[in-house]
Amino acid sequence: MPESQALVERLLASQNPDGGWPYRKGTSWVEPTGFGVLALQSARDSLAISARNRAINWLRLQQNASGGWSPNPSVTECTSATSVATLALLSQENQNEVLSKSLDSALAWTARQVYPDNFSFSLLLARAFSVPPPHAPGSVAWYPGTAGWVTPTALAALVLLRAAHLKNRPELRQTAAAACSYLLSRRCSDQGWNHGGSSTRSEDANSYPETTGLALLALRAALVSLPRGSVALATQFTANPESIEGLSWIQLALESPGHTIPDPPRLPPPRTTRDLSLRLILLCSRENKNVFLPEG
Amino acid sequence: MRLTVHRRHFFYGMFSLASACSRVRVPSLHSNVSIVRADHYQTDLLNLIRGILIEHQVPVAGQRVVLKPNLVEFSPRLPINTNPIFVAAAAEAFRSLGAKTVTIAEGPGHRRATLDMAESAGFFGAIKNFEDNFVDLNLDDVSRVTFSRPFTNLESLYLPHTILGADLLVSLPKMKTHHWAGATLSMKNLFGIVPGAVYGWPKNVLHWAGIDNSIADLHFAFPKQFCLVDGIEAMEGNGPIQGTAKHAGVIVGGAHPPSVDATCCQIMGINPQKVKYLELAASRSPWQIWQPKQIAEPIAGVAQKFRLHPDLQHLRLG
Repeated sequence: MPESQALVERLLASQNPDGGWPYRKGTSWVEPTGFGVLALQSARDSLAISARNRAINWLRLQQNASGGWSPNPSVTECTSATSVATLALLSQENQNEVLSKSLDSALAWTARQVYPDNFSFSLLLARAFSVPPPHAPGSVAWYPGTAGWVTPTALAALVLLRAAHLKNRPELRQTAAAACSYLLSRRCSDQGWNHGGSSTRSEDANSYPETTGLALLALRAALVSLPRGSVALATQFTANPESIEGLSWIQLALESPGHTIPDPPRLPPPRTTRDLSLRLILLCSRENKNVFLPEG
Repeated sequence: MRLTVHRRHFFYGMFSLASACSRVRVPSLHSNVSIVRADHYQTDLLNLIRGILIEHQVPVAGQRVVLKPNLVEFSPRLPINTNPIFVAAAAEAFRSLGAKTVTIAEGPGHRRATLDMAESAGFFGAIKNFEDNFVDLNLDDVSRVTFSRPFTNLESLYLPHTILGADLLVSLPKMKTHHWAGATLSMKNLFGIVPGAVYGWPKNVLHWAGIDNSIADLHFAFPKQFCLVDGIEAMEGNGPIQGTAKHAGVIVGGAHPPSVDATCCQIMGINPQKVKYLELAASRSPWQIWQPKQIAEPIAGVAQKFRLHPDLQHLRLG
């Protein structure tokens, strides 16, 4: 059985009756459900299409009045899980009025999460003492009010850039550019990215394959020329990517038609819905389109 | 089906209430701490750990036990993670004493691929059917737990059902220095129960609320714990990740986390009175930092001078 077919079957088997997906087992969460939708984007099989539609419906029902999503129905605060839900809605070809409204409020919410470069006392203090500012301009937090980090910032940039292209909203590209500047400022000394660790007391921290791949993908989506050292490190990571997530983000960032980054001899197994979905998204990108890039 | 949901909600609601009430209750003061020599991981750890549990009369029979090791990084070389052989021995010790279930659970703070990390760090090899007995706390279902008198400005936290449903939470930290908190031991280890799927990687909400205050809040939320510190191969210097190996050759165990941590600090050459989260723990209970009574080995027999981050020299003991 082809790998992608086996992955689709696993994905369908793990869908909850309410239409959402758990990370591994349990109740439905927004992030794995969003990734599940993206993974089934190119599905032609009626079962897969039905699964995708039920997931979209579940996501729409979970959206908060503010436009954002909380990560799980038992959580009240909206978080960066919103980015994946928004990417999932953006991937839908048939954008009816309801979906369009839903997307507009989601995009407004996402754009508000990018910390502005406003003058503030804390920013001034941080610059005076050469320490990372609490709300670094251009960054996006996982959880409202906390510091910005690489993964939520890169995901928000991907959302804004795709929406800028699909919905002809050039102002979103500007907000995404601030996010990309933050990403470029947070490279580790080895030229890759980790979670976005502060330089204080961890200046030589190593980068991770998954955050390096995701940051490069966001920069590629923004048409920023990719730093050579970062590409070289990401390519090195593919020999031992540690997880299927790390490998998939790097391949999605660096592959283009006619240029495939080979899998390592031992492919890390997909262990969560998110892993499964990312691998499927990568396999689909080789045949159809890369759902994270603005032009698809 | 409907009944199950209602019962579950009732259960977690009751947990929240009990947790809130624990603030006005005097926490457990079984402050005796065992210090047991273990030169390497090939020692008979199962019997050493069993001995500690028996000595402390830990009620294990019929209990749902959750072991919370410290799993931070992929590398099996540096002593960053609780050694999987140590975790395997602890799991076996609890099973041999009649635990109803023994679950291993952890939610790493920086990396999301928890199971890949566990495999790379040697947990799959050391622990039979590891994946079946493990819960990634970052991805577990959650309920909101309210704090009644928190040290932080956090009124509540979402916490994983696996932890809330445990009869006994067992903290299995690695003995390490920490470049912000001084030392990361059994109390700080509870940061790993805070779910990344809600708060992110890192769990920055805790840093914003204050590391020491958050450690104290999590401690008071779980009055029924046991701690077994893996101090066989420890870490000194720029811990908890970038430090270097330090052979300490001890296991430290006890039912009262501040007592265990204060004892570990003394073993590491750190003044426990200067560790803020221990001071907070002492401020809201009759417990005093120098109160714990050490059994088995005396501190002096195993104490070492762990290298500290240059900014933390003021924590040095003596």
